[in-house]
Amino acid sequence: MVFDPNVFIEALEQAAESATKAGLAQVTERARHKAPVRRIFKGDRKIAFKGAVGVQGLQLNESKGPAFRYAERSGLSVGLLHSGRAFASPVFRNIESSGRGPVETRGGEFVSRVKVDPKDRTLQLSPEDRIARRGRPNSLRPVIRVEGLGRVTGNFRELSEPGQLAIGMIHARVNGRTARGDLSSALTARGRYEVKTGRALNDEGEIGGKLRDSIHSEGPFVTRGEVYGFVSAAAFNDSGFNYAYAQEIGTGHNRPQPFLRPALRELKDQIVRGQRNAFATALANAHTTRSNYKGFRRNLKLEVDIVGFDRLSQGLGPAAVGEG
Amino acid sequence: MATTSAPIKRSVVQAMRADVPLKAVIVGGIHESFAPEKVRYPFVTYNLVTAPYGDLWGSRVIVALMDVFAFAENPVDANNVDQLVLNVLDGAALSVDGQSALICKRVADLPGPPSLDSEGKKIYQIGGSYEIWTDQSL
Repeated sequence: MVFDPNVFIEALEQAAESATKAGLAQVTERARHKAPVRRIFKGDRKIAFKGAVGVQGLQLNESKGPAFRYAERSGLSVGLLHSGRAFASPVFRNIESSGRGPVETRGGEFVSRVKVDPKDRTLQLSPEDRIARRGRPNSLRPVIRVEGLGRVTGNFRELSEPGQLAIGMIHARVNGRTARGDLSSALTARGRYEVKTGRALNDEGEIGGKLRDSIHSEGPFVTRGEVYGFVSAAAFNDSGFNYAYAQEIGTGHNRPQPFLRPALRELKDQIVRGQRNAFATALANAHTTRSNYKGFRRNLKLEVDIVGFDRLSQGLGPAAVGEG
Repeated sequence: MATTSAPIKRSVVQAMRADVPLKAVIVGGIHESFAPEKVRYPFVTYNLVTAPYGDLWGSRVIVALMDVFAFAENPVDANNVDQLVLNVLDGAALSVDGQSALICKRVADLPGPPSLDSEGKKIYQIGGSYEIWTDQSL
């Protein structure tokens, strides 16, 4: 087989692209792990909680969730967790009302009286079903205080369907008596404030973790023999200030909590190793399958530099993985 | 006995404190991560961003990344202090306890946007990242 330099260079570029893509994914994942998340739960939970937004009926069965199993073991039966899809409509955010959420049972399916209009994704609420707060915690394994029952624990998130989010009210029935509890008892004072204001709500209706969720990668891009990409974060507060940058570098009176650059630097060796392996594979394939590869190698000065570098730009704060 | 990145931070601060022109300018002092309230401007903060270890055949290389910022009430002062910090740290032969300092170099400028402090004063934050390589035997 005759050796074609163009094919070979294309293979190298493809190797660089795939290796860079893998590196970007690694850095993004590590940066998300390191990103500071507002501490809104009591105890040592650093989990962002989700605001329940649209509300739909939730099917419960015995196989679902430790909360249900806990309830079974303890002689309780879980009546309802409201659940909802994760979208935030301004209509929902502005709802203020009592917070009671009775349910109807229909063939084993618990159906809330709260309906979602699929056309305009707004909510139709009967007066007693209105939600008191703009956001609700759910993604936690809390110990909540239930009226008449004391403390109940369980992973309530697992009660919701994939793509759905449970909201904070739990109803339990024991000895024929109904009790209910509110997950907000697991919140810190800051958490209650965040729930009330909805300040840290992200576009998906989640509260907390806005910065973490904003971390994403762009690329790989190919420009004049260079393959590069970016990992960036941008989270804006109500004033339009991007606090991702402030978290990364700190301000005069607020401590920095860097998450982008440490992620890149900790993974630098691993990324460079991956890039080297990708190039080695491309070179080996060219060597074994192309008869005049040695001649090509003698005549062409092939330089491959592999670099991992970080660069921080104001307002965006990306770390970059590059190779050329 | 192996040492951590703490001596690296200490050596950086020692180097800045030992520089007479810099020390004379920063009336607010040098602070780790952030400064307390009511500290006078200008002041300097430093923060260890990351310090991954690389072990190889009985030796350990630490590549520490540190941000050093100057805070001042006007950009000229902030830039001047930043320049003085650069003079001190870029290419400095640091003395790190238990480790051999291989190199200290500035790797990036970090210009910050002007911000308002608690009293409503406009504050300028200008600085850079410094990469410090050290080696120690295990």
